[in-house]
Amino acid sequence: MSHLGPGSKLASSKEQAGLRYPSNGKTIYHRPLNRSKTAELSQAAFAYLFSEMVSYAQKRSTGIQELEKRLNEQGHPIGLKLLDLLLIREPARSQNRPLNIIALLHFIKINVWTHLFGRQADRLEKSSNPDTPDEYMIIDNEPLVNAYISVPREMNQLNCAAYVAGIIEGVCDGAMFPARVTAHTVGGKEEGEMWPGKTVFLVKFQPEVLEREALLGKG
Amino acid sequence: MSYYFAIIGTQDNPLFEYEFGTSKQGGDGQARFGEQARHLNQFILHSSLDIVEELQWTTGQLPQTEEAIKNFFNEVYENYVKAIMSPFYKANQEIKSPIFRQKVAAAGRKYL
Repeated sequence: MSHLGPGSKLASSKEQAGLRYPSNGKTIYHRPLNRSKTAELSQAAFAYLFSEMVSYAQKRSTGIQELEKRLNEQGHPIGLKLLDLLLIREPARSQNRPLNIIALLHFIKINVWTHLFGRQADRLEKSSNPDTPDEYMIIDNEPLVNAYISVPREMNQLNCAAYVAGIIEGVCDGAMFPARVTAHTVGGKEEGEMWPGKTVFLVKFQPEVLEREALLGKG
Repeated sequence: MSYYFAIIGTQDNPLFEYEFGTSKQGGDGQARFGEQARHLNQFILHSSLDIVEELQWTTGQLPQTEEAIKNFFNEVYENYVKAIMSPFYKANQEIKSPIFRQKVAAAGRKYL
C-alpha cells in the first residue's frame, strides 16, 4: 500500500502545508541564482510565445491603448524581479541599488538590456524640452521583441515593445523611482531607412522622484 | 538573546515574520519575548525601517553593521530573491513557503 497512514510525521506535515514537492526534492531554494548567467534561450520559442501573448492581449482589448497597457502590465512584474536578480548577480562591491536617475538608466541600458537581449541599448537621452525635465529616453534601433511582429497599417500607432516598456517600468518602480514608460516607433517609413523599427522608450518619472533628486543633489 | 525578524512590503505590510533565539553560547534557539515585548517589537521594527529609509539615499552603506547580522541578512536576502523568482509570486504577497522559513531558521542558527 503506497498511502502513508496518518501516523507518518512526514505525510502529515506535507498535508498541512498543502504543498507538493518535486520528485527529486529540489525546490527553487536549492538552485543557485547564478546558474544561467550566460545561458541563452531560443529566439524562435520566445517569438512564438510572444505572439501568443500579443494575441491574448489583443482579444481582450478594444483599442491600441488598451492593448499596449495590457502588454505593459505583463512586463511589469518581470522588471520588478529582474532588478533584485541582476543586482545580486553583480560582484559584491557593485551590488548597491541605483541611487540617482542616471545610475538607474545606465543599469537599465547596460545590465537589463544585456541580460534580456544580449547587447546594450543603443542610446540614452534626456528630453531637451525645458518643460519636461522629468522625461528620459532609452533608444533601441531594432527591438528583439518586434523581430517577428508585423503591425497592420490601420494599427500603425501600435508598438508591441510596450511589453519591454512594462519591464523598464517595473525596474524603475522596484528601485523606488516610480515612472510611466511607453514605447514609440520613430523609424522612418522611407525606402532605405536604416532602422525602420527604431523604438524610443519614453521614461517619465513622477514629480517626487525629481524632487528627491534635487534635494539629494544639494546635500 | 532573542531575535524578531520580519520582511516588510512596500505598503508597510508584513510579508514574513520569524522569532528565534540565539544558538551561540549554549543558547537553545528559542525566542523569549514577554507579551509586551512582542508588541513593542513591531514599533521598533518600523521605526528602524524609517531610519534605514532615510539613510538608503546617502552612501548606500549602513553604519556599523555587526558582521554576524550582516551575514544573516545576506543569506536571507539571497533566499528572498529565490522566493520572488517564482512566477506565481506577486510583489507584496506574504511568503508562506515552509522551505523559506527553514532557510531563515538555518541562517539564524548559523550566524546568530
